[in-house]
This record gives sequence, structure tokens and C-alpha cells, in this order.
Amino acid sequence: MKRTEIRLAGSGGQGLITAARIMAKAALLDGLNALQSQVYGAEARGGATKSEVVMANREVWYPEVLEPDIVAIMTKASFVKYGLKVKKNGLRIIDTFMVPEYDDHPDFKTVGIPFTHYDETQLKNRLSTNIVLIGYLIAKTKVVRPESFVKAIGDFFKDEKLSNNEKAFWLGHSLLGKEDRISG
Amino acid sequence: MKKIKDIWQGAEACAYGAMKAGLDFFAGYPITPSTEIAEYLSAMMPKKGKTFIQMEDEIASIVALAGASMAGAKAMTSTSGPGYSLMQEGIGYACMVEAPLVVCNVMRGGPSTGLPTKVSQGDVMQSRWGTHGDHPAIAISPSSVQEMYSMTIEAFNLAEQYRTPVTLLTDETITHMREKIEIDPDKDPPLVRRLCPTCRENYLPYGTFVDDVPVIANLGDGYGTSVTGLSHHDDGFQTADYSISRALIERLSRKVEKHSKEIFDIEVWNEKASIMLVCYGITSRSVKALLARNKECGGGLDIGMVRLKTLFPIHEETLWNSLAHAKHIMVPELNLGQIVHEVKRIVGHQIPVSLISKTGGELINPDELCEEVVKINHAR
Repeated sequence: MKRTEIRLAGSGGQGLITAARIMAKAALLDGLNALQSQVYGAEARGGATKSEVVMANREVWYPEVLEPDIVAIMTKASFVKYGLKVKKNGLRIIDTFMVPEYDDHPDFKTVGIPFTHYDETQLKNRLSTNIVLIGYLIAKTKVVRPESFVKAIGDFFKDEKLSNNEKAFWLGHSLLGKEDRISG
Repeated sequence: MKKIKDIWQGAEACAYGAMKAGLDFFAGYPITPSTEIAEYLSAMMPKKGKTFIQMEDEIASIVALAGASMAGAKAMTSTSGPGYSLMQEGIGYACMVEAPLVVCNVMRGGPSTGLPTKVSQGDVMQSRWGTHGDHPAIAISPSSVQEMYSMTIEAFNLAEQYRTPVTLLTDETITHMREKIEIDPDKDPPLVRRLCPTCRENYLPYGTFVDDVPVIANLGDGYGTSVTGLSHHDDGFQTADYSISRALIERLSRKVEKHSKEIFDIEVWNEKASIMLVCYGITSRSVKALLARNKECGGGLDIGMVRLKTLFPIHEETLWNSLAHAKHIMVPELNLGQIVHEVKRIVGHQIPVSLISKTGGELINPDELCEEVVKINHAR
């Protein structure tokens, strides 16, 4: 795998850092190098924030995302800030429950799925939208093996939280082909 | 301890390295972006019966460290710019009484409260000359999560060996990012412990030396040990005598400087390149990214790197030898120019040296670095 840059953009508290950390661990289990970083500041407590993972089958020297291959958008504010910063021919994933209206872009692919709605109606907790989204992201892009991600979840959660997050992951994974909207 | 292969935060690796080095005593005051190191240690240390104290401020923290150290403890604190400034008086005291201790300074934007959450390399010369008077200084600069572990152990070893404060000079990005770490306890370096006297008869705390380092009894071991920040006799009591004071000040610096060749550590890539980039810490990640990209693209630029793993003391001959062949030297730094002056002092009379400076809390990315290198390449 060449250097692949992933950006999760949303609001403080949505679990973007946790999601990125689990993804970095999954990449390690797949034998890749991975580096996770985040915005560290007042914006991390609300507003538009981001968490990033860079992975590659070689050393990851520069720690920050330069031009993201994959961008997931989880709030309107983060759409405004990060919604157009996607690599040419890259992929933008939008939670259409949070961002119902947006313009498509000819330079990259956009998929829209109401992740928050699925989390709320099918898992009834609205605590694991982050993992539902990652489930879809991995099904769509295959950046890491799903089994590796599920194994990595075990490093972060125990008992009921562990099974809830596993369910959330497989729910997201099953949403491939059920997109509201695909363009680009 | 077991083998580890995981994704860790720099702060966690530092805390783990400190525990591995035998940390007994931590005193500190929370400050962004260093707080995570204290947080990890506050969880780890009590489980091993070690002492973690959150002090009322950074001045109290560094002085508590000096006391604990003189009583035999391996002592450490973590802080950032404003706290590091407050600690300078205590660091000078530790230099003078020869208390081994480790200060981890996680650099953020300054001066003053500056940019608490943003990366910087603005405290480099402070790690050399932050406290007043002629004094020894050792500062080492990690550039990965792996080195946050290994260099923390090294910092303790250097402090114990030379009985002097050591600064682990890191930054916000290295401390907060998470990446792969591999720990094999069998490959960790052996731990160094200060020498202690074995005979009470005629004991003088500053009377016996091994390689200019005094063999001082730990306070509480039953030896009569007096320590003072004032210029002192071999018995540890104050004196203003010219020859004693002069010998003391010269020995303090000499005990480190004469070992600068062993202490000074560099990493060199493309040792014969005509443009050499001298870097350290997080900025070396940008340099390595550029060099790796250059290699993949067929090596269009004749560029190499000297990464300073040790910032102070600099062994001038070693640095000169690594750069003597170069036609141009570039020094990228997240400040307005600090280590560049050291490089100029050592090689600047023969080789042109230029600074690539960035402040304001952002990294120099490989594209920006490339632009600067290409400019020099064309000009040559």
C-alpha cells in the first residue's frame, strides 16, 4: 500500500480520535505502518475538529495529512472546513443525517449515507456512529482487513461496550451498496 | 517485562521509558502539551510503590526533584515552555550541587504562554543557556515515538553518569502523535546508577572523583553530606576562595565536555551529498520524507541529512566530519534560527549555511522544504 491519508472530520466528542486510533492499530495488525494524530486545541471541544491516520507499507515519515485520499465528514461545520479538501480522484464520505444538503464535486467521489440514523434506529444508542462510519469506510476502501479492525476494537473496549462496537462495525460494513447518493 | 509491538502515543512511550529506567520520584505541574506524560506516570507509579506528586508550581517541582535526587532517587519532571522557564533556577541549583535529574520539555509556541497547543522548536538555546552562570548542559532530541522511549532511558543514564540535569527536548507533535513502537526488554540499554561511597571514614561529598564526577553519598545513608548552591569546598560548605571556585566551575563543565564525543550522537543519510540538511526532532521527519521521495523519484536532488540526536554537547569534530564535503548546508528549524548558529560557528567559515525557518505553530512540510532546496540547487 502506498502512503494513504485518511481524515475524519466532525465535532469533539463524536469519537473520531478513538476511531482513528483503532484504525491505526488495525493497520499495524495488517503489517502496515500507521501514524495517528489530531487537532489538539480549543476546537477539539466542539466546533470543527479532525483526527487523521496515515498508513503505508513503508515508513510514514511526515506525520500530518498533506492531501487526504479519504475524508469522512460528520458535521456541517466540519463540511465547511474540510469538505473540499480531498485529493483528486479521492473519496469523500458524508453522514447525510448531519449534512443533508451538499454539492457534488467533479474531482473526487462522494458517497452519502445517514450513519447517525442507522446508529440511532438499529443500535438504539447513538454512541457508536463513529464505528458505523468506519465499518462502511473499510468495506468501501479495504484499507485494512475487517477482522483486524474487530480485533483492534478489543484493545479499546470491554464487555458490553465491546459487543456494541462490534455490532456497530458490522452494521457499517453492511451498508456498502446501500448508499443514499453516489457521485463523481 | 514483556515484548511490546503496538501503536502508542509519544507521551506514553516517554512514561514507559522512565519506568523502565527506574524512575523513583516525579514532581510536576500540569501544562499543555506535556500533561499526558504526568497523567500516564500518575497511573503507573503508585502501582510500583513509586512517588508521584503534583506540586503547587514548576519551581517547587524542580526543587523537589533536586532534593529527591540527592536522597538517591531517580527523579524526573515533564513540562513545557513557561514551566521550563520557571524551572531554570532549580536546574542551575541541580547543576551546582550535581543532582542527576531528567527534565522533559515538550516544546510549544512561545514566548510567554504563546501557542499552548501548537508545535515549536523555540527552546533549543534555552536548553543550553536557560539557567545563569557557566554550567554543563546535556539535551537530547527524539524524533519518533520509539525514541521517546529509548531516549528517556538514555536521559536517565546520562544524568546518573555525569551527575547533572539532562533535558529531553521534545515537542507537541512527537508527544501527541501515535505510531508504532517495538520494545524488546532484552535490547534495552543497561541502566546506569551513580557511584556511591563505601567508606564513612574521611568522607567528603565533593572530595572523591571518578572522571571528574564526585562520589556523593545519598542523603539519609548516614554520611555527613552538606550541599549548597553557593560555591563550595570539598566538604560541601560555602567558600568564596578564588582557586577553589574556579576549579569547581571548570570541573562542572569539563566533566561533560570531555565526554562530548561519546555523548554526541547523529544519524546520517546520503553522507556524500552536496546539499546537507542538518535537522533534529520533528523537523527531521520532514527531511526524511523529502529524502525518501527524492530517492523514489530517481534522486534528482543531491541531498543528504545529518540528524542531531544530541543537541548539547556538540562534538565539533564529529559534526564537522559529517559536513566537510558539503557544498551547501541547510538547517530547517521551527524557530527564527537557533541551532543554525551552532552549525555556522562550526562550519560556516568554510561552507555556506542557510536557515529554513518556520514559526507560528505549523510543521515545515516536505513540499515547502523541497522548494527551498530546489532554490539553492538552482543557485549553485
